[in-house]
Amino acid sequence: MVANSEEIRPVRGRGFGLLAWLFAVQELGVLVAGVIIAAGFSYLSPQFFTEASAGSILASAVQFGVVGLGVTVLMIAGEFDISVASVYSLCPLVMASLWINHGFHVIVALGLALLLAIAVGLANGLATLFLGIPSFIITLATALFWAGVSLNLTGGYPISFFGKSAVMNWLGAADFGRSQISVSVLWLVGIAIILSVVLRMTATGNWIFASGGDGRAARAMGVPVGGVKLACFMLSSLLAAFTGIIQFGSFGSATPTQGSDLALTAIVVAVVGGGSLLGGRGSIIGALLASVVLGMAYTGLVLSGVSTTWFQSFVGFLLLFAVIINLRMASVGARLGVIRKS
Amino acid sequence: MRLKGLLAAAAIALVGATTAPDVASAQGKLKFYVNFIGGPEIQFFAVVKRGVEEAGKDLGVEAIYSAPKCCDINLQAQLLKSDVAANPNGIAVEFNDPKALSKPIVDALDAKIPVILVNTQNFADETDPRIKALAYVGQDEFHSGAKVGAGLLPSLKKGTRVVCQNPGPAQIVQTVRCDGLKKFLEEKLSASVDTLVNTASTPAQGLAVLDGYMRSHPDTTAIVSLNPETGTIACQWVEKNDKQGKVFLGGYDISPAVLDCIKRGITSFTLVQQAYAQGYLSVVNLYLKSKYGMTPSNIDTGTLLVTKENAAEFQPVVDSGRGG
Repeated sequence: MVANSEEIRPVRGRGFGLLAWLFAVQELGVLVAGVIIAAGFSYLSPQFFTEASAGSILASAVQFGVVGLGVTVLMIAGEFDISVASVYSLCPLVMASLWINHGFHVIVALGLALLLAIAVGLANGLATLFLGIPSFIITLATALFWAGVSLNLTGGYPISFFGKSAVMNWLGAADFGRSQISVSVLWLVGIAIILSVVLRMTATGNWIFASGGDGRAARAMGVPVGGVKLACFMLSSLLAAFTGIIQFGSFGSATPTQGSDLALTAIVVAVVGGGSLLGGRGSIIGALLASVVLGMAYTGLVLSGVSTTWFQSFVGFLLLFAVIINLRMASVGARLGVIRKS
Repeated sequence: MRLKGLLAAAAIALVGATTAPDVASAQGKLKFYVNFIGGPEIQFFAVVKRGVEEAGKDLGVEAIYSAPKCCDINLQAQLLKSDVAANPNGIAVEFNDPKALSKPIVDALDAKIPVILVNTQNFADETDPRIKALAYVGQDEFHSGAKVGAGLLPSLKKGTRVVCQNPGPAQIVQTVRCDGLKKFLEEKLSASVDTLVNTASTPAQGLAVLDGYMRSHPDTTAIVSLNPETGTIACQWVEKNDKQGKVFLGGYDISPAVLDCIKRGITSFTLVQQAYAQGYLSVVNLYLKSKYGMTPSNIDTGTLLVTKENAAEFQPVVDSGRGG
């Protein structure tokens, strides 16, 4: 694997196996935060550990997580995507409009909406790579553009689907058996497993880490950095669209104003999960945990009788807490000699 | 390491500071949620929230305003799921979307949690009959459009053009209001009523949107604004362009700025649906149901037309932060 400046590894052969692992694990911050939050809310609300609240927590986790996983991969490759929030609202609207208003088959409408998302990601990637403008700026511009398109597509009005559809059930309308847990959780878990395997066990994963860690060195070693980044842009956009489509499946309504804060929340998921804003570092498992922690916070505040207007403050604090824990543990581990920053 | 300790303490403090008093006070208290689509970043919702919280204090119950940042219907539905999971003594729901909000409401009813609707009852044909039968606290939106139209009637000529400024099409209530106004003015005056979607996030942008419309439709003789934010913009436009007495203004809800425009004679009137009362009376309705088993009542809160003549009477309500 191509080395990168952000990578943290346990030092072998020092007899500190467990300790080294503990200091090196990128997900430590979010794990600690998750345990504190779960303990806090279960103490404050007897309803916190019930099936109904699990359904609510996981529904939120799916929304934060699927889009967050795509952004995490892109950030590992060293790029940002601010347009995910706009794609999140645009693509389900396109699907709903084609299907409900224009009579397309639901699968065709779904496929076209996802193709649109891939095209948006491709455009973001090409513009970033060929114009040499930071992806933050490019995707900010496209975010505004696509938000306007969404508003104009329906004049700002929502599109709702009534009735039964197997596709909508599989997207999220159905629950597991008689539980209150939506099947959309399967999408989050499935996507997380696939991405985790790709990142950790394949050459493609190595290329992604290398492209974000030190693009020049990676290129010198034959990594197709441009192609890797392009693919990551498309993945980020695709998962943002799919998140919106899952929401459409779960609740049956697509609105152009949905998800306005999602771009920042997705970055929070990536960073709280152990990712670096500088690229070359990040964890799918960490991002998955971060999305569950955000879901716990969102539902936990409600169950504890606290106004959700505190949610943003909570997310801000969580972000700082997890990042500082991660950084301090890494530097303390390095000082003790149980891990190495390479 | 000390920093880490501080952070851990602060994390616990954050959870504690925001929740401990509520939990302590909740012991043995009735608990109600009032679920809306927007939070206090929108003035109207801020006043509803105040009504909810003050009713909670007055009645000695835990009354919680539950809403996402305006206006994400799926987030509202997700929050409603959490509200139901909390198994409270009652829930009031702003029924914005007949699809997204139905399932959590049915889940609540199945769990024997009393539910009422507040502010909006946007039913579809497919809406569960149990939801259609729920008690409602708020104004009759379609008829409110006619009420606003009637307020404008004396100032308008036959065949004139009127524009309805809609600040949030995702809130179906806004569309229903414009539809009611359109139907009334078409019948009475054969007027053409346009809808102007004005979702601008700043007053300057909002003013530019309205200005663009008014310049391209110079025959417009009345502007109806569906919330105080767009009502203030309309007032500013009339003042800037010296159109007082030529372009008439009416609207919904009230703020200090709108009341000032009414007192100065720039805005003819505003229909006040009493946001504070909607929040407050929702909690009262649920309280009576939980405490005494009384059936929740339908309450029409939108009965007051504030004009130059009665503006002074309404001033104390606005000054106390309970106008909305």
